[in-house]
Amino acid sequence: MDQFKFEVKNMGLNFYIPIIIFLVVFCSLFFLPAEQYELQLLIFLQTVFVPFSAWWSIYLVYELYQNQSEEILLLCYPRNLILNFIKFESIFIIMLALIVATFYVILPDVSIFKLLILLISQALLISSLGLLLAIFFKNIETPFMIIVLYIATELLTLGDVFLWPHMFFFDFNFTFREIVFYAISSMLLITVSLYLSYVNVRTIERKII
Amino acid sequence: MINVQNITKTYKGKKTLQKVSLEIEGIYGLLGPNGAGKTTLMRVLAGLISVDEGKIIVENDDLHSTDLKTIRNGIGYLPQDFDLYPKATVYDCLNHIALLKGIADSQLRKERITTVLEQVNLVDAKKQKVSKLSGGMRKRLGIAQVFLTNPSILIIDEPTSGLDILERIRFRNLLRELSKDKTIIISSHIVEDVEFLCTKLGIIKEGSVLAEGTPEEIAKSSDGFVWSIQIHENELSETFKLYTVIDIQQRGFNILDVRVLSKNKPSNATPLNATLIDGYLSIINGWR
Repeated sequence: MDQFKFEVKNMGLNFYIPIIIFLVVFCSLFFLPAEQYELQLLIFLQTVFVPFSAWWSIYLVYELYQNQSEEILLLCYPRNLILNFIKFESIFIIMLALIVATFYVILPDVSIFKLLILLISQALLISSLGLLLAIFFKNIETPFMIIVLYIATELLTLGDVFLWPHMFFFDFNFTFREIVFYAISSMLLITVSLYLSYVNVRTIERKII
Repeated sequence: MINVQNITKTYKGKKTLQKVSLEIEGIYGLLGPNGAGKTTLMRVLAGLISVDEGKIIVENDDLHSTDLKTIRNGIGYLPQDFDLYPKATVYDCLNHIALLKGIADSQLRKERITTVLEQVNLVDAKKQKVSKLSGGMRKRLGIAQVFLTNPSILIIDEPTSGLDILERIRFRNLLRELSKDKTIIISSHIVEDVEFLCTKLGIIKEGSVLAEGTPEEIAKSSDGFVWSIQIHENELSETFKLYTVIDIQQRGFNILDVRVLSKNKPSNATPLNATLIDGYLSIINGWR
C-alpha cells in the first residue's frame, strides 16, 4: 500500500482528473434530456468517461520518461508496473460500475450486465493500449494525442468511414453474443498490450523509432 | 577488475562501439569527445543494453555469456541527467526506490536509508522536496539510491556536469571517499576532475579505444609535442591558426606566454613537461 500511496502522491493533481470526470459524468446522468437518453448516454460514456481510464495508466510511466529517470528505475520499476496498472484500473472499474448501476436505477430496461462488460472491456483496452504507446514512444503526449484523435474520428464518423477496428458501439442493438466476442477479443488484446508493455519498459532501445 | 573484451554495438545502423577492449580497475575514467560512445559503453557495462559481440568479465564471472540480470545486480549506474520524483521528499523518494529494489522489511529499509543518507551527507535534507535540492544534492541523492543495494561497482556518467565549483569539488571528494572499497567508472569532459579522481583512463573516439593507461602514461603520449612560445598580443590570432593553444599567460605589457601543442617545434619555442590534457589532445589528434 505504501507504494500505491506514493504513486498517488507523486501524480499530484493528475490523480484527481479521472475522479473529477467521474463526478461530472455521474451528475450529468441526471441532467441529460429524456429523448434518446439511452443512446446519448451510451455514446457519452464510451467517448467521454471510458477514455479517461488511460489517464492513470499513461501516468504510471511519467516518471520514467518525462522526468528522465528511466535509466535509474529501469532495473527495479517494471516489476511493479503491471501491479500498479491493476490497482489504478480497479479504482476506475469501481467508478464505472457505480455509473452503470446508477444508469440501471434510472433506466431499468437496460441490460446492466451487457453494458458493464462492454464498458469494462473498453476501459481496460484503452488503458492498456495507452500504456503500451507511452512506453513505446517514451512520452505521455503521443498516446494522449493518438487516443484523442481516434475518439474524435470515431465520434465524427460514428465508426463508419475508416477501415481500422472500431472500439465503440453507436447503437444499443448489440446482442449478448456480440458483447461476449468483443470482450474476449479485447481481453486478448489487453493481455498482449500488457505483455509488450512489460517487455518494452525493461529496455532502453526501441527498434523501430 | 572488469575485463571488457571486443565489445561491438550497432545502433540504428551506426557502429557506436567497435571492438572495445578495456581492463577496468580502481577509479577508471572514460575520456572522449561528444559522440565517442562513452555513454553507450557505460550503459553496456551497467547491463542496460545488450551488445552484438564481445563479452564483459567481472571478477571472474563471465557476465555477457550469462544474463544482463547478473551484471545488473552488482552494479550501480547513475546517468548524467535525471530527475527523481521531484514532488517527493528525499526520504520518501529513497524509501520508495528501496521498496522497488526489493527491500521489503521496513526496519531494514529504514536502516539502509539512514546509512546511505549519512554516506552522501544528506541527513539534514531528508525532509526536503527533491525539486528543492541543488544540482550537487541531486547528484548525491542519485548516489544514495544507487547505494541502497550496496553495489561493488559504481558507474557514473559525467558526475560533475552542471555543478557549480563548490558542489563539483564536494562531489568529487565524495567519490574519492567512496572509491576505497568500490570500483568506480566515470566519464567526464573535465580533465581536472579526471586527473583528481582517476587511477586509470581509457580514451575513446568514434566508438574505438585509442589508448588506455594511468594518467601519467596518457600524459607521456604528448612528450615532445608541448611547447611554450612568447608572442606579442597581435600575433595571437595567427598562433590560434597554427597551433592548438592550451594555455595563455600574460607576461608583461602586450607579451604573452602561450602553451601550445605542435608536432613540430615552433620557432623560439621551449619544450614543456606534458600534462594529461596534452596527452589527451595528442591521442585524439592521432599523433600517437
